[in-house]
This record gives sequence, structure tokens and C-alpha cells, in this order.
Amino acid sequence: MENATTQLPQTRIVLNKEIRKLLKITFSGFVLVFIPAMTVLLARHLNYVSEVPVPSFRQKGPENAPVQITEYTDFACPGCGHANQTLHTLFSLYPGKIHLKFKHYPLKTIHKWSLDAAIAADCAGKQGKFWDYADRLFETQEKWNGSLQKPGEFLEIALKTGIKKDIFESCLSDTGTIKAVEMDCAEGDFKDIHATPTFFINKERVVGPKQLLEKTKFFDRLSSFAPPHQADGASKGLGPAKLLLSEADQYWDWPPG
Amino acid sequence: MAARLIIGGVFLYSGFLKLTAPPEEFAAAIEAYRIIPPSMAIWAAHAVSWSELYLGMFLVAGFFTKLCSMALGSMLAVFIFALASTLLRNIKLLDCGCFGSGGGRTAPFAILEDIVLLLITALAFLYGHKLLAVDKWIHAGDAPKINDGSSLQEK
Repeated sequence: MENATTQLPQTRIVLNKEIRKLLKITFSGFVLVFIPAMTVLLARHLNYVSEVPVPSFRQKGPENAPVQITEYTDFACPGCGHANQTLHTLFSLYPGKIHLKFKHYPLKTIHKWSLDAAIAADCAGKQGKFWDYADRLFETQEKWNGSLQKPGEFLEIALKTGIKKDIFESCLSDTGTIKAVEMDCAEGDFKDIHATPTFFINKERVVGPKQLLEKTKFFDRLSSFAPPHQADGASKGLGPAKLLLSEADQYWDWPPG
Repeated sequence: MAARLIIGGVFLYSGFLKLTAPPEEFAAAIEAYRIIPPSMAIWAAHAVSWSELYLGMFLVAGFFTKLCSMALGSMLAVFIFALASTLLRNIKLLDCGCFGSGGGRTAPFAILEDIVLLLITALAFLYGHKLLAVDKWIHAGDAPKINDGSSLQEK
């Protein structure tokens, strides 16, 4: 009995110490979790940028379409070429349901002629041939990308697509055209884009052709978005995007070597 | 303490860079390793980034030093394994994704870097809790331990 009464204060001291230790751990943990989380959120918040307007010739599909895609692309990047094919398929599978805004993001440090290609495409766009010209640039990217001197392909493609040569050539050195491309690059930098192609699908970021294909899974889940003949299956996620996903394996090589 | 600050600082910086850039970019870097399915890459990107940030912060502060240095050591071992596997499978990485996207480190360079960091992590594990650590403050009232595992107070 006497032994028990002497042990009681000792037990209390030990308990107090343990509680104090627990409080110290909780306080330290809270501070160490709170500070980095707030710093990251603040840094992300400060990164907010408003959008540079996109010229009409670089837009496709109805403006009120349920799926809004903004694309940041480099004509010299192979992944962008793959993504371009996927976008063509998406447009044919979902007519009138997608609105695409095309933005230039030439990776000038690794692709010598991608800025020139972007400017040339805008010049073609001013004559109403942007999409045709862009497709041909992607198709021939291997030819002109490695060129040591300014590639002749830019003019060749222009002539093939029925663009007026003199207007096209004067446009290539037009400061307004160059500035429009540079503004797209600046916006891309603010949005922390380091890889092409980068897409914003209904404001959600998607990087690379593989992620673009992955994202199409969600297109089919919107029954209002799916084509009429696919409506039943689409609501269960069985719409045409499944077909696209079956082709996904060919993109395993992205990012390209 | 220096080892603790170096490792903690490197991971804190790396985690911060990844978290202030879009996770999709780091996910794309993870996809390039072809180890996990692309649909899971985004989750891995989130998990790795936040883990690096918090484990780095905890180690800098000396909070659960031994546990954190063990966790970071394990992460480094996984990174080394993943990088080595790309070399064995002949996968050419444009960027290892070590500090998010755009760092431009090649796999052999990143492996060397990770091995050096792993050695420093071992030092942090052994000696990191001894100086200017939150752990020391938390255990300030504890009786010093003697060899047989019991404490002086108990004696």
C-alpha cells in the first residue's frame, strides 16, 4: 500500500513528460507541414496569368463547344506531329463538339527553325491557309528540322497550298507577326510550359500525345458530347475514344529521343 | 548537421520546383521511364513531389531525423534503380525529371548524383539528430540513456 502511494507521483511526472513531448511533436509537425504548404500555394497563386488573344485563323470549331482545347505546339517536335493526328481524329469523331485554340510554343533552344516555322504558319493563316499549312509542316518536319541553312520547304509548302508568294514573303519579316508568336511563347513561359505539346482541355493541363489520348476517355462519359449513334455506350465510357486509346501503344516513344 | 541540411535542402528545393510547376510535366518525365502505367504517372508525380517537400523540410528541421533520412535514402535507391533500368533497357531519357521538367540531366549523371546524395543521407542518418534539431528539443527532458538500455531516472 505504501509502495503504491510513492509510485503515484512518479507516474504523474512521467505522464506529464510524455504529454509535453506529444505536444511538442504536434506543434512542430503542424508548423513544419503548414509552412511549406502555404509557400507552395502562394507561389502557385502568384503564377496566375491572363490569356493572350488567339487570332481567328488559329481557332477551329464552334466557340460554345462543350470541349475547349488550347494547344501549345512546336512544329518541329515529333510528339506534336502525333498529337496533330489525334486531334484530326477527334474532330472527325466529334464534329461540332470541340473548339480548338492553337498557340505557338517553339522550343528555340533545341529546334533551330521552329520559330521560323511558326511565323510562316501565321503568314499562311493570314491568307486563310493556316490548318493546311500546319499539317504539311508536321508531315515534312523531318526534312526541314535538321537543315543547316534556312529551309526552302517553308516557301515550297506555301506555293503548294496556293498562297500568294509576295504577300507571304513580306509577312515573314513583319514585326506584328513575329510579335504575335513571341507573345504566345511568353504566355507559355508564364504558364510554366516546358514541354510540347501541352494542352489545356477545359482548363485542365495535359502534356504530350499520350496524356491527350488518356484524356479522351473522359470525352465519352459526357453523353451530350458523344455522337448520337454512340450515346448509349458513351454514357458507360464505351464511346469512340476507346478506338483512339487502342492506338495508344504507338506513342510509347514519346518524348522522342 | 551539414549532411542533414544538404540532403534536406536538396529535396526541399526539388519538391518545391516540382510543386510550383504543373504536375503533368513531371508526370510526362515519369512516363518516359516506362515503369508505371501512364494513367498512374500523374498520381506518382503528386506523391513524389509532396514527399520530397515534406521529408526535405522535416530533415532540415531535424524532425524525426532518423525516420526521414531512411525514407529519403529509400527514395534515392528507387531513383537509382529506375535510372539504371532505363540504361539497361536502352531508353534514352532527355531529362531525368530529378528537379521537375527541363533540368536536362542525363541518366548516368543523375545516377552519380544520387549515389553521392545517398552517401550523404547515410551521414545524416547517423549524426543528423545531434545538433540544432527539433528532435533534440522534443527529447530535452529525457534522461540520458546508458548501455544496458535502461535510464538513469529508473536507477
